[in-house]
Amino acid sequence: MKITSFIFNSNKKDLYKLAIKILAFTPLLLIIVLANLYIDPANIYRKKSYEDGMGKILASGQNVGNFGDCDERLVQKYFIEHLSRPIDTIILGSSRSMQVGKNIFPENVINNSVSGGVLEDYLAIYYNYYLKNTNLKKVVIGIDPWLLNGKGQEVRWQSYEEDVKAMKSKLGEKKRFKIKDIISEKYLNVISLSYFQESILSLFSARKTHDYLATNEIEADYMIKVSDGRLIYDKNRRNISPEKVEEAARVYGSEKVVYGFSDFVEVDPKLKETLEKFIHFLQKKGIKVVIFLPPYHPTTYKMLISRNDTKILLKVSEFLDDLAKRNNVELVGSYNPENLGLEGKMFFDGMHPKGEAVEKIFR
Amino acid sequence: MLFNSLAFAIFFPVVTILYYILPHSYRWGMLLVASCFFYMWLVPKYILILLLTIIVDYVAGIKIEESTGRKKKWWLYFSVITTCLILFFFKYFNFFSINSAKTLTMIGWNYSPMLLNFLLPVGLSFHTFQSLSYVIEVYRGEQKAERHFGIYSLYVMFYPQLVAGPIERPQNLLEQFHKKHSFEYNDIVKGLRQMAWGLFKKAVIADRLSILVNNVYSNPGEQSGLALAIATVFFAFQIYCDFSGYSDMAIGSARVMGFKLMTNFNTPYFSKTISEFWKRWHISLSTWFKDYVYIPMGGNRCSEPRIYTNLFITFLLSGLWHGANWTYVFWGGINGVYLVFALIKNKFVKQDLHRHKWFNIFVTFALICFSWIFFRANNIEDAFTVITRLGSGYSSLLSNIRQYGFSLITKDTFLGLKMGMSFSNFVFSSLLIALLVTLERFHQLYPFQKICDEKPAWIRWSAYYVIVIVIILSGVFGENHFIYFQF
Repeated sequence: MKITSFIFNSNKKDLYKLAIKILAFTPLLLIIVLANLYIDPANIYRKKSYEDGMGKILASGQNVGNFGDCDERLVQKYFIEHLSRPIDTIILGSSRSMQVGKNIFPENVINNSVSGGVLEDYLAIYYNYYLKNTNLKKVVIGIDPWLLNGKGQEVRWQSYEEDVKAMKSKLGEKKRFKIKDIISEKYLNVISLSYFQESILSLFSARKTHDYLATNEIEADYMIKVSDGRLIYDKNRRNISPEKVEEAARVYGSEKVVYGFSDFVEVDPKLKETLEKFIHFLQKKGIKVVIFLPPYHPTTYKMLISRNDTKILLKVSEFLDDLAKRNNVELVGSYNPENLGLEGKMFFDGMHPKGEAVEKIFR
Repeated sequence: MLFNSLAFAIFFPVVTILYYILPHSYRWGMLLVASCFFYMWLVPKYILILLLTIIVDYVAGIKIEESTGRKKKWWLYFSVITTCLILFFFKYFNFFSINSAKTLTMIGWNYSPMLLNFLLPVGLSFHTFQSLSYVIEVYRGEQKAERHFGIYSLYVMFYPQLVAGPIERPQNLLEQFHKKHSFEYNDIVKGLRQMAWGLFKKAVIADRLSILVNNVYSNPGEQSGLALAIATVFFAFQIYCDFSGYSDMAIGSARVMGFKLMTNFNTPYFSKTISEFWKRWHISLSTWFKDYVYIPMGGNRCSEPRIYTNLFITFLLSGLWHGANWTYVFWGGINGVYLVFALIKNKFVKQDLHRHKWFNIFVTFALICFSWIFFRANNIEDAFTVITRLGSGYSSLLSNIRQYGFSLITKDTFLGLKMGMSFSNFVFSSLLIALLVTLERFHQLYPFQKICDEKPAWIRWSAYYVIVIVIILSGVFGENHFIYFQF
């Protein structure tokens, strides 16, 4: 009754005027939605045959080269699905762990890292091995600081949302209703202004979706995904000068919001709990767990620990140290490159260590 | 929750619609719940600190009004000390501990400072000052104590101005919670316009300028004088657009619901003197310090040396309010020195400020920019590095230009300056600053509100569309915090 009295007692003309004014902006909203859905520069919404093809090649033991923008999560999913060889060791991580593979673990190893990997990614990817009853002996978990940021913005794991939910259920996590469950974040992304800007920019630049190819090469002018899951960068990136690396490291460390540290004010208790449950789950299955802390570039690291909004990585490091001791888990690496004797030239940029760096860490 | 986030884009219309649907007697409750939700979006447990200050000052306000004589004063002291202790504990404890340890080390007493490991609750400095102004006004008899606990809580927690001001006075804000607000079309339109303008300043200008500023100020020792000068000017506009943009969004969102908050910025960079600047910049804070620190210390009613001392101390405290770092104290001190110097100068030199108006505006802006060096630098050493390097690198720059000409302008650097921003982005950023200055000057002469009301609909709508499209296409999104959130 109160609602109708408000509507009918207020000046109707004013209400209609306001409604029309607000509706006048809906064409803009429509343009944003349509651009995000159909231009879709990160291929979040398009058909998945591209990723399936890549997965098949990797599973067959060949490398994939010249690939463009694609849904990495689906590549991993299809990679695992098509795998028929035995696998002993897997690496779960972000792009910062993508240099770990046959170069370090001579046994049957697959690196299932994905760009911006978060805990949900690790759960989903492992779940796909679980479904296949793969007899894993070792799981290396690359943990970036943002893994424990409860306010992280990463949503790409929603490509295998069901796998995430299934694995969480296996860990005994109660399903709590969240408003986000009503609308998947992947579809909320449809009204993302930053994604819309990417969509518009991609119209003016060459689209990055290429015809990928199967290859046995390890190094080329283009990026290569090796059959063990490692990523070998293109020639320009591999040969980047130390000065440019230093510059990139500085730019990265001085970003207004450093990747993964948005609203990172506390080490999220829920994520800590889930991580620990995941480790226990693996250990109960007789799987050896190794925690890997990928280092930052020395310049970047110094900047991050001096900034109020990023020095929380020290707390993350402390927590992981403690977690490893309590759970009898091997901990390898450190966010601090000085602890590992790493120089700036052993990095591609502020956050990605080269293969030689990770080999030194694991030796 | 940030104003420029998707969460707020959903939160705001829901709260506003509920506000107008609900009967007046329920509105305060809904706003209070919404404000709690808004505050708890980041770190939920810190609402307990807010609750503590609310309870303390609510009780103190009533007791002050009911008491007389010394008891009245004791309740005031109790409230002020408790509230300030909370602020000290979370914001200044580590700063004082570290500096005490350093001082004692200098006299031969070495010890490790005790440090607390707490994050600073968002907006602590703002709502602390708002609470303090309430108890002081009650003590002075200028404000009746609020007996309704919910309304008083809402006064402290009102979400538009909870985390970064404007710092409201109880005489303005408390009364408005008791008044019934009807659906007023003009208020809603004006409020939305102000929010759009605030979002434009924040997302399009401030966040874009921060790219260059952060890169240059992260490593001042390796930057040339020109890069440092550019970064300093950019920072002047970044902090202005960031903070005034937030204030516009706060004031606009309150206005949509019929609440009138105080103006917090009034085109400060068009000030002809430092004194005028401080009457136009962060008005709610500067008036707070004037009314509750400077005037109680004696204000202008003392001897001249005392006036200068009072002024200087007030600005030192204002600097400290901004952060627990010597850079902020220096910044406050510099502004205090400017004002003292101006007072002394005015005794001997009578200046017609309108005669060389643009020169005066330029000089004032330059002085303010100089003080911003301390505000932005990561530490005192960096600040002095910036200052000492401001004059360096120009001769080599000129010889490079003579030698290489336009080829010095490349995609990533220009004129050999590595400022972490592409040339096209730099040009765009500079144009945005020019646009802002032009629009603000235009607004001084022909207020936009009047123009909007007089011009035909198609002109107004073209302007609205342009602003919204510019925000969508050029805004820097990605959960960038407002600078003043750290206070």
